[in-house]
Amino acid sequence: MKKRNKKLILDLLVVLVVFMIFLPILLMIPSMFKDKYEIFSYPWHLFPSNFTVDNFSRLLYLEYTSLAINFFRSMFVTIFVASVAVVLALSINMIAGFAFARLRFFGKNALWVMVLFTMFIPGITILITSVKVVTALGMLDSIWVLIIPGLVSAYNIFFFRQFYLGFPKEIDEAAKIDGATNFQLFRHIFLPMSKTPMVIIGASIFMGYYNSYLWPTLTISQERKDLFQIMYIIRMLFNDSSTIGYGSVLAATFVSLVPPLLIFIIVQKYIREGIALAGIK
Amino acid sequence: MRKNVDNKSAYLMLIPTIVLLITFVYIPLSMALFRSFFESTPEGTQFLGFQTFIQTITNEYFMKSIWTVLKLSITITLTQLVISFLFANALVKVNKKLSVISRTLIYLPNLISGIVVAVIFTLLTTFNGGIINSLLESIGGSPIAFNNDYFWSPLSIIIPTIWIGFGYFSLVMYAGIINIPKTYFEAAEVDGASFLQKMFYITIPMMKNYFILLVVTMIVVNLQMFEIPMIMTNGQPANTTLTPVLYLIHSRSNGNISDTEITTAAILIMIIIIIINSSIFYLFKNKKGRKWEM
Amino acid sequence: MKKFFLLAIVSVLSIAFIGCEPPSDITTNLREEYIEENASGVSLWTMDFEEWNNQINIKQRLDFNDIQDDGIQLNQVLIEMNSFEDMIRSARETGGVPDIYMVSYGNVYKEVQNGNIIDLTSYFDQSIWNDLTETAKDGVSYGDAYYAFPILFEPSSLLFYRKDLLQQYAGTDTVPTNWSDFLVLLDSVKTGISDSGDRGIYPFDVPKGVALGWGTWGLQYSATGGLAITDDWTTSRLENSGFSDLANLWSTLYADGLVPLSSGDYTEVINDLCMNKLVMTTAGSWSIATIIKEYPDLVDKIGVMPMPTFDGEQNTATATNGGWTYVISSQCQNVEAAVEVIKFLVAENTEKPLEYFEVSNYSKTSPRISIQNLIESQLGTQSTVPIDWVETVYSVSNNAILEPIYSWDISITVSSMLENAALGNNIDAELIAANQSIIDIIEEQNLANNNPRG
Repeated sequence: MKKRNKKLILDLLVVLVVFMIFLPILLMIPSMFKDKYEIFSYPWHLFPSNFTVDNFSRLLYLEYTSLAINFFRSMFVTIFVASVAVVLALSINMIAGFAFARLRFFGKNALWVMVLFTMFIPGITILITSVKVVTALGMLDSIWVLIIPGLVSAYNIFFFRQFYLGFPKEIDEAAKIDGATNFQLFRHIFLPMSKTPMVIIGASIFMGYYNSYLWPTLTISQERKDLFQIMYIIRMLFNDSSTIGYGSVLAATFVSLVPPLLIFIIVQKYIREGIALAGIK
Repeated sequence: MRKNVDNKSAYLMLIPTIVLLITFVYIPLSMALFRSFFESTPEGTQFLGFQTFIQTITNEYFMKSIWTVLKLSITITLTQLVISFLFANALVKVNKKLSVISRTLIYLPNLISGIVVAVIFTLLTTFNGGIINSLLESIGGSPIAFNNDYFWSPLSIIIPTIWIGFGYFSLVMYAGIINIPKTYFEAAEVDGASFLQKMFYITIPMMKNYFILLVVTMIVVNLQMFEIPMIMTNGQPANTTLTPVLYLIHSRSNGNISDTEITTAAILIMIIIIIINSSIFYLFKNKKGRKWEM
Repeated sequence: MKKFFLLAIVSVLSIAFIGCEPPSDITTNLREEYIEENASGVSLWTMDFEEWNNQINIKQRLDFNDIQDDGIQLNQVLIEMNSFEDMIRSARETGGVPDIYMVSYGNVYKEVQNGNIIDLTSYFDQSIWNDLTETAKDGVSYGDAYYAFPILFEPSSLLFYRKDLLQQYAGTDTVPTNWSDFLVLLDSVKTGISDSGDRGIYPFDVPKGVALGWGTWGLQYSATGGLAITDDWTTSRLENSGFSDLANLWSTLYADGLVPLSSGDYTEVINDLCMNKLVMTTAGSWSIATIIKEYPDLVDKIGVMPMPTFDGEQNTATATNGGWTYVISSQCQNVEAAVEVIKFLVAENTEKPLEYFEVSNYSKTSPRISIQNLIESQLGTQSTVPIDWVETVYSVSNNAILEPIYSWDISITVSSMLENAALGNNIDAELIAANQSIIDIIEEQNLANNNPRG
């Protein structure tokens, strides 16, 4: 009896923690429909007294010369950039992880150290000089500057390598006897087995690109407003919040949460498996 | 068996990785290192030695920001470890269905960017009319300046940061706990071990690698944090919550210190990360820890 | 199931994308831009200010390009304020620095020192330079040379007050000019507020955070007769009792709950006054334009006056003349063309600057004597801006000092001292520590006797 009570308390505690985690997001939802006079007024009411959707319709066309854009369109562009990056980054990092895990070649250790060392290099250290590099390559103000420089990640290669190390040697040997090349081995045997890490890493790459703030602000100028990434726009709206009202910032923020939410729905089946994989590390 | 049989295909597979890493990591890194040791003027290049480093280390504001971020990172990482570990232990014990749902839901904040999280939390912490202060006032309390107070400012950075990572931490811990062979616990129970004894003698030692993984990732991430501090406090009060990256971003936009010094400061951040991570590996190195090396 | 979700995402997004195709760029909506064939391009970077400000900047660019056969095509880019310096720095390294860009008065000297901008003296007639006020000349010249052309001045701190709210809470709408009486008024407002049971409204507000560094230069001057260091930059002036008065004032304002402990960006604080969150506030002169454009109903209810001083004397410097200048980059290939642009926009004719100040609701002052005179004669014919507001802006601006050009570290030291005092630290200890920090900064950065204005 005592044990059952204890368990019930624990259940309630877990429910409470999960509720607390969602509380900030839940509180934000009614506030998006408040006008700028109401949102930070006393006394606080959960629900708006003057219900307004202006905060959302304003996003359709942000009335700034400097931000004369449609927030939804920018979101689409941001999603597009992130999706292209996911496809490219997955291909590059998976095949690199495969090579490091299953192939024997000259200079493997040296190359592996070269890859791993990049884990220790903080973005800020190479930020300014990276801008110089992309400028020299003529990539400024193009969609490529948003995509290419961040494609390779030592963490992701490491993750795939760990994953591919987990399979027995016999697989390769059997395939080789059948006359498969290394590319065919990857394509026909390892790729089909990689669904879980692909989903997990793909989601994290997507979110990394989708959420990036500093790099796009340094490499995309006002001349390419169509390439503005939404984190930058949200920051701009935040700076202007006393004029346009905090409700609009929240509305933009909420809209920006839709892709993470969808990603979340897609990957949630794989999360537990993926975390267990990460645990191999 | 012949060695290095796969040279050709392996290099083909690694070409994109190598080219991209050299172009976007190693070349910028070399340029940064070059800049911090040499001064290029139209008249020619001059070797400065450690002059810029000394200048950076004696920069009071930068060094203060390093201490600030170290204090914040340590608090965040330790709190994160403890509460996630406790929560993961709870998840193992609760109702199966509840456990599955909770494990799914708590992952969500991990997908949200620092900027967005800070925007969401600002709704709660705004001084005049924020939700927390409104509620406080209605029960007769006095409002709190969450972004301008020696005590609350660090907290208004720490809490959103923990909020982002809590779910991921708990899930990794959970995976670690369920991976511990049941027989260990059964044997301990036969010996009459208490819950705490089991935790300290079995669970924690068995999960050492998980702790190292989490600490190392957190340190690299947290030492570079700036998005949440930028929106939550922007360094207030009196620059006590200024993090190094935020300081460098401010300096670059107000033209306060030269690009050379900014680059050098960023290299110092890298050195600090390398030192901290290597010492963690060294301290926790075990026989099985070889897998971290080649 | 997964396919369903993917389909859902794709369809939702495409609907959002197609359905919300934005109207074409607002700048092109304004008017067709005349593109001159074979013209040499001049690039101009302007700050991204308030929307009306951007609109008039763009309109004037289009006006310039409307001039046919001058062989110059003006290309203007709006840059967000926080990343302006960043963008300029990157552009300078990569060779894409604009021909003309904006620099604040406080930063002109730094640009000169780094060799980033050219000496403009010989490009403009002496009569043009003579048209500038003395303050403006001081702001853009070092030695015998002029390095920038001033666009406008904005006094950084004025006192804005709500007559209606003062009447409601304190039964008066006269505001004293000295701090001790002002504090008494604040106390009675505070009592009035708490008696009424209203919440979320504070009697007063002051600059905070980064703005505390520059927003209090005027206050420092009126309290101490100078700034944080002596004019020859040899030593700290923090031992002047005025700084202790200032720190005590800050401590009182915060400890007695007369100002909110934390508030939004200083440049936007006027919104709080207009949204009934403040009864009075310190704010820059640019706030006048915000009131008129965003809260026209409140114009009659708001008063503007110079900041209070410790001795009550208002005919003294109570603010700094902040503001912007145009400079020409030393990497500019076609200086003559760039000079033509500056002449058109601000230097030579009176029509364009006058139009600008009119649109800005006279919330900024002109650095040119001829324009000031024109504005004076024009004021009576307009009715959007209360004339006493404009008079206040001009009188404060005429008394105001220029933004100091010494190291920003010094200003941060003073603002940190004030913040610490406000949060209840021992004022004497804070003053001693700040004094020492400033002495160290002077030593480290070798400032002594190096004031180029000295």
